Amino acid sequence: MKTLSIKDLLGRTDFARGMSADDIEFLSGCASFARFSRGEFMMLAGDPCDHFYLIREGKAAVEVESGNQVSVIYAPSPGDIVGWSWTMPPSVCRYDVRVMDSVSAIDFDARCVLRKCEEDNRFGYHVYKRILEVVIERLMATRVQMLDMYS
Amino acid sequence: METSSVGNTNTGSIHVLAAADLSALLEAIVAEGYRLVGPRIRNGTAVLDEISGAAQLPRGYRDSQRPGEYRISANGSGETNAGRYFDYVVGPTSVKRFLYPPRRKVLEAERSGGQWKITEPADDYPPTAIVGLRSCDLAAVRILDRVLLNDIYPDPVYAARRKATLMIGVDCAHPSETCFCTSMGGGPSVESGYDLNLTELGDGATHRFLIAAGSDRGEKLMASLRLSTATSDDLAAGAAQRKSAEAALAQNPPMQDAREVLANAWNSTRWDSIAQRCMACANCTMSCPTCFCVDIEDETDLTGEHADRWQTWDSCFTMGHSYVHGGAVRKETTSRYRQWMTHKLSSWHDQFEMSGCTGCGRCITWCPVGIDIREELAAIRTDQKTDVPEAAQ
Amino acid sequence: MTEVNPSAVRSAVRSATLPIGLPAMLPTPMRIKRRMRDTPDTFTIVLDVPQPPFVLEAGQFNMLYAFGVGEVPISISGVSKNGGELVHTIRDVGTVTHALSLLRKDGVVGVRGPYGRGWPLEAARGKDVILAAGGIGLAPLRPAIRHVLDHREEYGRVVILYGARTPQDMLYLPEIQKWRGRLDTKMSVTVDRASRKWLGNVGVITQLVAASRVDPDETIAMVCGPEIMMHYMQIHLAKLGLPNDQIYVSMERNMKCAIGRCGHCQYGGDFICKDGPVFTFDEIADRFRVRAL
Repeated sequence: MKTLSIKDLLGRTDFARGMSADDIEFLSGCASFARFSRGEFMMLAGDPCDHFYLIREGKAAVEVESGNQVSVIYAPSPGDIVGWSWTMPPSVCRYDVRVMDSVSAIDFDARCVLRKCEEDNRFGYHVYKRILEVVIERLMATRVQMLDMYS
Repeated sequence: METSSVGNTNTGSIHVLAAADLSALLEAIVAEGYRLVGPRIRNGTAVLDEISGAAQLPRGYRDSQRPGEYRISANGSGETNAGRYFDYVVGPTSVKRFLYPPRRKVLEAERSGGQWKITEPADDYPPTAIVGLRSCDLAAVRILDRVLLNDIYPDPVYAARRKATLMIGVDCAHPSETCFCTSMGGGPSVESGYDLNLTELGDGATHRFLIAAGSDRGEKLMASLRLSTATSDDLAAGAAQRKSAEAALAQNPPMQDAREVLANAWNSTRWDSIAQRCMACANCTMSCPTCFCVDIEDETDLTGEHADRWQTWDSCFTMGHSYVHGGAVRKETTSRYRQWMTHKLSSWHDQFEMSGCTGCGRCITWCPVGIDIREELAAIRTDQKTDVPEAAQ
Repeated sequence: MTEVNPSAVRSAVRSATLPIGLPAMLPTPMRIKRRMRDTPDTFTIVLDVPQPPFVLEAGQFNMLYAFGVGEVPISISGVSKNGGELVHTIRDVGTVTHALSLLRKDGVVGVRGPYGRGWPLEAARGKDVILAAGGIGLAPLRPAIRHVLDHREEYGRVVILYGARTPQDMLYLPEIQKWRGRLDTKMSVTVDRASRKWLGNVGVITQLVAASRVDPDETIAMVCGPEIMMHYMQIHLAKLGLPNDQIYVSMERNMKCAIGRCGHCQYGGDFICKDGPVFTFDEIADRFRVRAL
């Protein structure tokens, strides 16, 4: 019952846009629901990156601690994917992700997804294409932030 | 607009003025209350400046102009033109200097105890007759009229000066190597925009002028002169002189496609090659009869309670021209030359439905390194043609 | 004392019968009624209009004159309902703006204007509207935002997006909070960087576009900010399905006269002062592919 509802939900997300029903079913086999309350860390830099999340509700903050200062570099909100370091070895989280407003998310078991990607490269291509889209979007945003265009 | 009655083409009949009576014409103009301006030799060039009469005109002079080069001397060519008044073409100054002066006070402000008094100083420009204007000068006036009079905010000072100026045209007999008026659709003879127009014919015993009026003011002046009706021989001599001037200009490359060529040349590599030669000295813009860019600067006295605002010719070749907070938009000469030439020959059409170029050639002659916009246009056009795959994108 | 009623200037331009001799270059002295500091380098002055009402189109600008120092083009960021107060938000970045920054209450500023083509509030009527501002770009856009919110029933969905450098660099915070509180408007704010105290979005303004639930065929977007920001916004608005002729941007160049004569504000075949500052992206798309134009 729970798996079915994840499948339905996944099917409506941008992440699954264009995927076949079989692929979505395949993917939802690696997914579960997760909830995080305010102040909780969804990820910690240095931890193995074996999960990634698709945020459904709430807001988190991708943070980096430098010296004695913590900066927020991106604030994921509903529809955003959190976590992509699992796609390449050594699969270690690079940033802290702290919950700002209680988050409800679809929680993907990254090892499970990776295994399926290895087994079925066509499926893997679809998944990596979507992750790459996220990475490109974040990279472009980061470059714009670096420009400090409002200064 | 009032000025439309000034200097239109007039089909009034053509007469002959004896060469010896040129003085009488100029005297009649002065008698009408005009300050007399005409070409005279200064610093080795024929400049437009105040003259007292025909005696100050560069009689017998011929000029030679090439990219980056100007020479003028009395009878320098060795031809038998001694005694002719107008056998050279345009020098570095143009009619723009009179109608739209290089520096003018546009505002005076006085402050005392939080009260401001702001006034526009009166312009002191006497009625002025400019003698010896060529077809390219009158083309420049047409262009300046469009920019400064026939736009949403007409310039009242330009309008007043324009009205107070009498234009005496002269047909060019000997275009220089840098002239390309016919490529821009005008010249070498004056066709419109004049109050009076002169065609200098013959020399020695045959020396005479054809004279025609282009306005009521011109008609009135003509009526005061001793003239004879032009014979068919006189008209034929005028036509022959025009034909020879046109022949001299015929070597110029076609430039009718300048608007389209440059509209698609923003990213041409030719601009880099020009920028390697261009010194960004602004001579082209300062000598150009149509460049209208001005800077507007305030000056205060020591008390700080009195301010004068000055309008000064500016140039798109200066760094400050494109300054926005944080720095200039056009930092490199590449972009500044591109701005100038593209504006002059192409985007001017978008702004004012006409080219900004008269083909007077001043920007070529007075360029210290001899950059020739005719050649540069040709080079850009050639690049576009040989670069079809990119152009097709 | 020569007084020019700026609203008279405007109506004269509209009817294209501006008489020769009208002193288009003469500023009207106006007294500062209030002055606020918005951010460390930005301040707002409220001017007392001597002959109200000051009539303007949202998106137009005035030339502000600091006595003896010079003039600078500053967009109009507000006007009171009766047209008797004129609001300018100014960033202290140059000689003239610095001189203006030194003025306090009762100081005098010379004003002439308004000039230029403003935001397409008429064309946007009955449609969904995206109003997107970056940095100090909120100042020229604010009159348009206020108009849309004051005439809310005339527009479809309204989305306001604002991107700033840090939370401390945001303009008009109390007003933004009012906009955010409205149930008939979607307002999103993001900053480039923030400390942990900031609970809002961190990222770039383009990342806010995708969540705008608008009908792309019936939407007008008005975008104001740095050129690079407007360029990226167009890319994201296009992804949403907006064609370039429904995207409006406000451009900036050097300006000395504001009446199309001094030549400094040329941008390709246009003068920003009289053909802009607001353009459809369609009109200028090609120019974004030319450097140092």
